[in-house]
Amino acid sequence: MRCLRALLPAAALLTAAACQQASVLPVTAPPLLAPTSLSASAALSSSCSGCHGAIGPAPPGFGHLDAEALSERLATYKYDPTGTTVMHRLARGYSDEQIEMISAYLAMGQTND
Amino acid sequence: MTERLSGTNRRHVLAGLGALAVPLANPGYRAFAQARARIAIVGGGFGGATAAWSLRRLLPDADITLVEPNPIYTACPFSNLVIGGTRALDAQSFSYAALAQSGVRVIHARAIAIDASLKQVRLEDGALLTYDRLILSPGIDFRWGAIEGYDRAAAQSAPHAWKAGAQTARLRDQLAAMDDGGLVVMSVPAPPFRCPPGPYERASLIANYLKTRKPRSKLLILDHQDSFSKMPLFREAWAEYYPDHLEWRGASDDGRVSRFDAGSLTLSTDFEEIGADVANIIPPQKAGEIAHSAGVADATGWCPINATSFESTIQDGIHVIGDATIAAPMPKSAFSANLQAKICAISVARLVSGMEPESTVLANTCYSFVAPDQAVSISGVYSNDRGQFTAIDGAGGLTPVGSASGIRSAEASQAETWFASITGEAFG
Repeated sequence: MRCLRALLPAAALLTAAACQQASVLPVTAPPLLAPTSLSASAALSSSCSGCHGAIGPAPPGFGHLDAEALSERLATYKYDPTGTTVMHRLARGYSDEQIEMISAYLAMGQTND
Repeated sequence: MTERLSGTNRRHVLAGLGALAVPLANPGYRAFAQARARIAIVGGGFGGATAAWSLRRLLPDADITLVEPNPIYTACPFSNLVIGGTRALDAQSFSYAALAQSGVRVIHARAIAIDASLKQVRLEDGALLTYDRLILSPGIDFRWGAIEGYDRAAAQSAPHAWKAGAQTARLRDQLAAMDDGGLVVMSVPAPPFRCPPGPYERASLIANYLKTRKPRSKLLILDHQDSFSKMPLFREAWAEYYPDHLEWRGASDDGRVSRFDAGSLTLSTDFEEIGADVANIIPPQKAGEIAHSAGVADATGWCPINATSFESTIQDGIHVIGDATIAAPMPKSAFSANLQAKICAISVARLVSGMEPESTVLANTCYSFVAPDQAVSISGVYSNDRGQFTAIDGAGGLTPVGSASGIRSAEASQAETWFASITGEAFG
């Protein structure tokens, strides 16, 4: 399994400003309502939909991101030592493996919904 | 937790993706569910309603019944904005119509008794509901009389507004009817209680109302606590916005209210009697009544559970979620109830499908408004491994003290999208 730290040089390009900009992209995918399976990935991803399973105005949406881009984004939050947004605070609670599981699950959900 | 997952992690991912990729109507997907498992859910708040939706998806063939007396749900999150006069109470109302259309049987009746050995719920009309697994999401009830003189009748003259609805409107209307120059007094109970930062969000929004509409008036908070959730952030906002309109008195500064006179709206602490023009008494709390008759609450008044399965540690076959549980360090929040519902639904679906529940990682974020367009937040990340909730080190925390107002505006906007998401997830 890839180590997410290895992604950081690329991920570091996503500055806070870039994240801010990405957050206003419209969410075109249908609402993601977790869980949809009994897997460990579905359970891990259940925390996301409380804010991001939006019916209504788009929160920082990830409907346009594939698994790799989601992993990079989450790793950027996790490994930014000075970040203080809600996502920085949350991402620090997950292992690299868990971030990959969540990213794969969410990206697949968007594709198949 | 990480170690345990790592060995089988890739297989889990593939299993998860496989299940996702197959439409729900495919019989192959349904095969893992026991034929017509009977799941009853009692309580239709953020926990119960979300559990019903989740089980509908996870167990398409199961017989899923939600028991909730009220045909319309009035949400507590954001109700402090209603009290502060900047939000309509209608924006807090949600129906169960979409859930009923999804195939969940919704019964609008009160559950009055639960027999764990017979696996039966008795409804107020005498009907019996038999279940294989029961999810109880009973919310809170009040310890009437714990503050001497504060009972159901007194709550009409001094609303608690800690269950949203008529009580919310009553407190809002009392503030609106109060003359300028009046004194509003709020009593905050000892923990644990629903929504730990809630009293202080409410105080902020009442102070904002007084400052803008009745500037000679003041809010006094009498608190059973000496420190509270998001304290540095609230204190910062109060000093900045409401220095003349809000005073907080902690437990060791004679802040504990022990007696209330409903006739004169007088609150008594150890050393003082304070007459209020509007009194908001948030009473001490316990798990919702049905938890006590079901025998799943312990001497603390709350419900001990196995954190991995959410099953009661007192009664087999009954899972408890939301504010009624002993889940610290997870807070009693709508976010927690909604997430616990999803994780509990997975555990229940695994159990009726012959699989053991698995541990996972749970997050929580609570936003609090410090002004109608400014919010701050607290986040936490938790493991539920081996039946226990534990906070994951190095994760979570508060909005930084000293943040620019732009950060607080952004968090207010995030709070709005959270509310839209979570109510969408619970009520469709």
